[in-house]
Amino acid sequence: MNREKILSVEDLSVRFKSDEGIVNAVSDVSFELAHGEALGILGESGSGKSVTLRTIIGLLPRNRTDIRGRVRFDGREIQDLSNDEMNAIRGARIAMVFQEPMVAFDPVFTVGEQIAETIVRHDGSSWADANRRALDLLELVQIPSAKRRLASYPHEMSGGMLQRSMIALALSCGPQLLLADEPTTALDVSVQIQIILLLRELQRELGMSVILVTHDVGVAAEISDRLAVMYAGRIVETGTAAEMIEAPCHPYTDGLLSSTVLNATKGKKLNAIPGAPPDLIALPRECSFAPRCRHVQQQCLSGIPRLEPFGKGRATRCLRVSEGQLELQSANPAL
Amino acid sequence: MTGTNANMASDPAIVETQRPLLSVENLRKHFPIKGGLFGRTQAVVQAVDDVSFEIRKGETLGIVGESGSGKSTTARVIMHLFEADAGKVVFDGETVGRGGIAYRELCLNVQMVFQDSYSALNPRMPIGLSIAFGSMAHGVPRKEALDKAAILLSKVGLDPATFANRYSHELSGGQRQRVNIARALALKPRLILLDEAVSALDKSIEAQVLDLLLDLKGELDLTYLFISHDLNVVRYISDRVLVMYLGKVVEVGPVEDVYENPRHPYTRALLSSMPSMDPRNRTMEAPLSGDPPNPINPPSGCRFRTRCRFAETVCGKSSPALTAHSDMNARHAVACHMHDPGSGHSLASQTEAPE
Repeated sequence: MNREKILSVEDLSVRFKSDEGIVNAVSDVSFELAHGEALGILGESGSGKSVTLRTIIGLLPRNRTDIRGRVRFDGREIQDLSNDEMNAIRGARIAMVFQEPMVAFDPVFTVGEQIAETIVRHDGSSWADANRRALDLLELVQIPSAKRRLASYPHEMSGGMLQRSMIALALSCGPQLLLADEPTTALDVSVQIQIILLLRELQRELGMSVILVTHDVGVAAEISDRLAVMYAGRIVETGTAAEMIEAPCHPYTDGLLSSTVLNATKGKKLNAIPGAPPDLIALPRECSFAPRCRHVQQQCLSGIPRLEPFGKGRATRCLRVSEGQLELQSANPAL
Repeated sequence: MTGTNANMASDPAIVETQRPLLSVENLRKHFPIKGGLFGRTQAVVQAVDDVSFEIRKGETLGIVGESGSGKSTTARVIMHLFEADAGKVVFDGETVGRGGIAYRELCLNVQMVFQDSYSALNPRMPIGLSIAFGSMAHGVPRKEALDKAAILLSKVGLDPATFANRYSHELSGGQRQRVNIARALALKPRLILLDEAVSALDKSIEAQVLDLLLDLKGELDLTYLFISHDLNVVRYISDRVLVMYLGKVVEVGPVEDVYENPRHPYTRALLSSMPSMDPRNRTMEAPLSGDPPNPINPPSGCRFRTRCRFAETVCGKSSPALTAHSDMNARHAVACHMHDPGSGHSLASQTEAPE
């Protein structure tokens, strides 16, 4: 596993200024991504997963955001790059697929024009070449009658087809890193599985690294090699997808897995995590999951626990688990 | 309480003698698409076409299907938010509409909870008043209605002293959905239509709201129609499940029966489209290709035939009827030519034979 890292994120913190105060969207996030690896970031709304992605690709407004820490992509420090340098990387070497393709495409241009424009812009090729490449790309993402679809406007396409086009657009300049922000959330299950399979196939064929952000454990399990679980802006657990789903090593992951209806017996109450995530404006100075945790003890309130290694290739931000006082067992029936 | 209810609903001997709480007969709702110079009808969206089903007292009927399958339209037609083109809705033995019970009376018995908890609430009304509003419209004095709203708030797990005077934008999604449930309960309905009521919530909050729905059902003797695209949630909460495809019912039956032994090729494909929870045993092939077709000008005959591996000539000619076949549980019915020995489908006799 001595693969070179394409991306490393170190102590990343992102804060926004709002009228109510400072929003701590992301705190102390560190992770690495190897070439060709698929990382899934799992979390609920407000956990900071999308903000992390947007920081990597430089989509946050610089003047209203306070970004600390380092993001290193392919040997270059992203935060030190000028706007022009970042523009050359964004869309070409790091590309992103968004949740709502209907909103992400410009409604007044055809899908073909929008893909070709990206190619002309980044590769400096002629429009004729770019149009040919756009056609190849639509075929690559398995859009039926691709030639006709090049001339379609976004509103003329279905959700699944648009998400395929969106992936084609993201792949247009052969990115090394693909960021996917809830790419299947807006789709029906029958289409969702098609997009999951497409992403997995393309990642293998093209050797890309992928970061997939999702709230759906099932979607994450289908694509990711490794998983990182985020809660209230922090990574609380990392490890391989298989290990984590089999035996989580943070009470939040455990609660998330056992509160899914998959594990429940009919008519019996779910093992729901009580309460709600903390306010990101006033984060507690202790384990931020402590108020909802079933296993909480006095020691959990003494400070913010660090993400400690836990076995091979795993880490947990739970004091009690890393000190060996607490053992969690997942009841996932699928395994 | 929950236990006794579930037992009653699943015991066929008791259930068969009961009159259904709601029955829907041959319901049809088509939406014309108008356009052109004179606003003529250019096409028709066949949102709901010849749909019939029953909901028994105390049970939860789940409806699953992809977008455009007509599940929400069905709920809205029951609530009279859309006028049906044909068919009738019978509530507790009485036809709704002309010659039967009035819409106003239906509202006292049937309430609905919508997916978007924010747009379902009036942003300029404190939530206590939102909950009391329905009762006030039905003649309950303001003071009494507000007192009742406070009781309902605590019933759904929100402290009335803290929440009654807040506005909807001050609440989280889970809290707002609790308010919507409290509002639906205000008129003491017997049936609640839940249209993707937990779909917009985070998983940990979704679990809390599902728990609440189960508690309330036992406590208040409620009956639910639970619409969702989430197959796992429907399996968990429903006693029976109805599968819709392009405005038609393709399969209906006890939830375990349908999930363990799906008969319709669409139900099978839908169930195996769910992501595998096991990274060591991933889905290798998508069971269905392409998007669901448009309900404008749906395919002739069986509407699923354009995506069905088993489609034959007969499937294009006639629309299969929803039937309980001899080898199936009596309460499990499917609309597929493959299961009908007389249909002329080449697989019909094979599937009918006991294995």
